[in-house]
Amino acid sequence: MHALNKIAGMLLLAGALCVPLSAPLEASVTLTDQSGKTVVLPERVERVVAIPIPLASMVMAIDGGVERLSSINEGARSDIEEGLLGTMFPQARTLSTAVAGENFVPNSEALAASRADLVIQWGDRGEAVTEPIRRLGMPVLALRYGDSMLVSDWLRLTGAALGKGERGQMLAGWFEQGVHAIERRSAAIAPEQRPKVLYLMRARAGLQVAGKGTSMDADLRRAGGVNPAAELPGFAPVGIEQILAWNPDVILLNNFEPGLSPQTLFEDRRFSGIAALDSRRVYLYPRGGFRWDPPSQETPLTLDWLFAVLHPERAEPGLRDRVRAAYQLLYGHELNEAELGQLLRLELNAAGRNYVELFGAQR
Amino acid sequence: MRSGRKVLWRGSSGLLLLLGLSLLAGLVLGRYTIPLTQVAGILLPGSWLGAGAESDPVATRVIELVRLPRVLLAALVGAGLAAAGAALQSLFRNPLAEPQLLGVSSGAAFGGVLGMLLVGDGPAVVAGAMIWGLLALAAVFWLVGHQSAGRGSAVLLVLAGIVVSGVFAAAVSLLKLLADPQNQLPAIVFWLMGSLANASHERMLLVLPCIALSLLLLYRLRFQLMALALGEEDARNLGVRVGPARWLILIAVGLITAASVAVCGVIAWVGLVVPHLVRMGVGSDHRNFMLNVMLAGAAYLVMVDTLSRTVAEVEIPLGVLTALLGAPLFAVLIRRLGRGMEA
Repeated sequence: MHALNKIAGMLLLAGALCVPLSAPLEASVTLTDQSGKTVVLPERVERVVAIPIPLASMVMAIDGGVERLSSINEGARSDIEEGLLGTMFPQARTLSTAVAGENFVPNSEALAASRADLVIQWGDRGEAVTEPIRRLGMPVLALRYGDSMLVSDWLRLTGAALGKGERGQMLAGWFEQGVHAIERRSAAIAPEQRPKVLYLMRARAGLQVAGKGTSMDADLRRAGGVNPAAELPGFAPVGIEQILAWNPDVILLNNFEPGLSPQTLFEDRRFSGIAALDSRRVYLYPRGGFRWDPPSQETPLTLDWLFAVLHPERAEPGLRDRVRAAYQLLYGHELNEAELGQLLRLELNAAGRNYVELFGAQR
Repeated sequence: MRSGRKVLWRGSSGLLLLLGLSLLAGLVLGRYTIPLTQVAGILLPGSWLGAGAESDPVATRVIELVRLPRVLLAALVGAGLAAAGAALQSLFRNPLAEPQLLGVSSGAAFGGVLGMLLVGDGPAVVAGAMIWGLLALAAVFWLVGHQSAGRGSAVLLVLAGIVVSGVFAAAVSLLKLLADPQNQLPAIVFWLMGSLANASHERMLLVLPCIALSLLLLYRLRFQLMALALGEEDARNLGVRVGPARWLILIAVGLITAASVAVCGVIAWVGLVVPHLVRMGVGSDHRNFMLNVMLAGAAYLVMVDTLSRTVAEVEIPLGVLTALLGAPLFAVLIRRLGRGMEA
């Protein structure tokens, strides 16, 4: 009995010690994230760690700067150094990337050192990537990856978490409107007028196509194309013969492999004879604040571009102006001609059919 | 004597026929459908076989630029890996010896990744794979020691192989960590997985001299190998200069392994399974054993690679298939071996 009392006393004491730590702060924000969990955040978040790669640029877009970012994914570095993110936010070049790399597993020490009061993480990659954060007592905002339409809620949730709910809401509305506009335009296209479009996730290190469940598959269907690889699971390795058998009308190239351009395919004799190469409809995805192939806040622009590439005769002129306006809205940045040319890959895509007519500068 | 000779060549000619059929199947089958007559017309222009077939430039390119280099490379690598396995089995007097098991492949993989990181894809990968593959082999040899090539060395050899494989596997992981995740890592991962998907005439020509000369060397050394399989002492008594022979064999094995790792990544199990299959099916008559192993290895890898690229729209990695087919085959062998020991 005596021992029991002692234990009870110790428990009480431990409980009393814990209360000040776990009790919600006076003013707090409560959100439900994309994994369905409730997240309690301080009224004013000061230090954000963004582990999903697209969230680095998204936080900058919502917050208008990098001041509150304490660490981002190692993988986002290339958006800063090779994309336009570093041009728009020069201070991003000095951001720490110690907290996570390609596998999204957080480095607990670096995370602890960041003293983050908000950690944004993927919610669909198992507990292994979120548990270390919760163990440190840091609030996790979990997002789901997959279809591009998930992004509008990334914008809403991140906006709300940063105390910029209105801006998040506004950008989410802009995002949805942009996507739906393209969906409406392609709905009118008859099945026989939809080109066969293949996205190559890998073209140099083996061949890999985007199949079922990838955002690229859904995006190219939204923009009025047909994916001949739609039945394959995820990013699937295929042989050149399979691509010849599909004979796609358009081939889209990824933004991940260094040195890859339409020229790579034009120079590879194994590819000649494919309809897309005969009609020179091979295009490298653009890249701005983020790569345009995976989902991000720039996806409405991706779909606008994709629709024009797939249906040049129905393309709405003035994509350059729309990109400029979107960059003003998203990043508060005025794109100059050179930046716009770099973003749209005018040089690398110059040999592509209709490319310069569609997206080049007006003379 | 004459009838013995007949039996001897019956096995080899059977395997030659099998190789011919597998090469033909490899050329005819594929995801891009090409009728048999058209294949014949492309391969033998002007012959009666291909007469009347429509000419399709894409089909021509598929045959000439995709399937032909691929089946030839598969045959070359298959013959090489199988012969390397057989040679190591004789040299170490151990039925478990195989380039993969001895850590040579891991060493070659490390050297290739190192070359890819420091210089880039191309000759640097081949050179790196070769140098480090040979170093790994030398390390295993040094660990096992000179005297222990006897019966009791089976455990020692496997242990040495595990040590060397372990070190190089860890080193490969370390290099992958150091590689730029977006610019270098995908190419490294793809290469390590093992595939003939990037086969081309250039790649074929890059490794042809290396593997072909090594095969020739192993074939020339077949009597020395046979003698070494009896034991070092017996080999010496038979007039074999053991030291030089051993080094030549090891160099040939290292070159074959490294060259095949360089062009198509790590392909396991071929060197282990094929020699045993030949022993089971054709017999281990040493006069033609090496030749039979080469023919069977070539046919085996051509068939497996044809499966890997035709079964589904998705290409099944070659290394996966050789392991999936090889492991059960080997399991059967182990059971037989066990029963033989009990008897």
